[in-house]
Amino acid sequence: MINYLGLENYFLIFIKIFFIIFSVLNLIFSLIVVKQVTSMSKDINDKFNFILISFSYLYVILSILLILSMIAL
Amino acid sequence: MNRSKDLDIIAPDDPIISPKKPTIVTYKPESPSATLSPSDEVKAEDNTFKQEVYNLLGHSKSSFSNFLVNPKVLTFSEQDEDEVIYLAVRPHLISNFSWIGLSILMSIIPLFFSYLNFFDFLPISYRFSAVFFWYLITFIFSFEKFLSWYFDFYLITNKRIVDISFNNLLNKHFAQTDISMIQDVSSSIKGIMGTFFNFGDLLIQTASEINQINFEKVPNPQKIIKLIKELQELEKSSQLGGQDD
Repeated sequence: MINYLGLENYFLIFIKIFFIIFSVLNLIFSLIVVKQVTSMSKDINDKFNFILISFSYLYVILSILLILSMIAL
Repeated sequence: MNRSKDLDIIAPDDPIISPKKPTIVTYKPESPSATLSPSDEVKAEDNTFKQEVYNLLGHSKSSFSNFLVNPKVLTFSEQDEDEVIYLAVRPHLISNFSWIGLSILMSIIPLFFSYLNFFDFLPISYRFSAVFFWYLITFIFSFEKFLSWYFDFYLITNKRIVDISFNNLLNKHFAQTDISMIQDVSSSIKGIMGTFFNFGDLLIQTASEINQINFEKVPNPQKIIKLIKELQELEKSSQLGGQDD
């Protein structure tokens, strides 16, 4: 029983590490998205660009929240 | 018949001719361009052609439309100061159908797994984080696809034809050709969807270094061809006018 719980702990730790790695990659990607959306908005100026840039920043905030929630597991 | 009273001057049977009212002669310039400066003249020409474009293509309803006629807000970084965009076209809305369907499917997947109790062996906090992560991925997938569509523009201006597209947010593609360099324009509408929603590909062959520009899945290809033809005629007539001067 104790061994089983130990394995379960290792499994959860493995999942946690896996989640954190992917969350960090996701955060990096979100920063790329912000950069790209800003650059695209400079290239093509339209009245909805502000909304799109806001969405990209929202995605960065959510990605940071995701990392925090993964660390808090 | 009235007879003249001044019989010494006029013969008796001559009719009375009343004196003509003085006519007011007003000066009218021969053409509106006679009083306009060259820049105003260009603007006036552009406005006239803009009206012709409206007559040819109709009006667009919103900025999210895939067929923007004479867009007022839209500009692009390579645009010249005196360059006017007559038409901005994106791929047809229906071309987004596949990724929208996939996004909806991705949104349903966590509900499906929770219904089957697939991840019940994991603690609730892990499950919550996993679902949160999954929805973020779904969101960014949809957002990326939307941006690729939204910033994929084919522009027809008074000077040139421009193709701007961003592939996967990381690659920017820019191609342009002058109106005078266009040699051939051909269109093809394929499949049930293309025929039903009237969208297809437009191939513009040019004499420039980029020998062809391909408008993919654009709505109303026939109307675009008409506009290009009009612009070519305008270009030819302005060139002839320049030679005459």
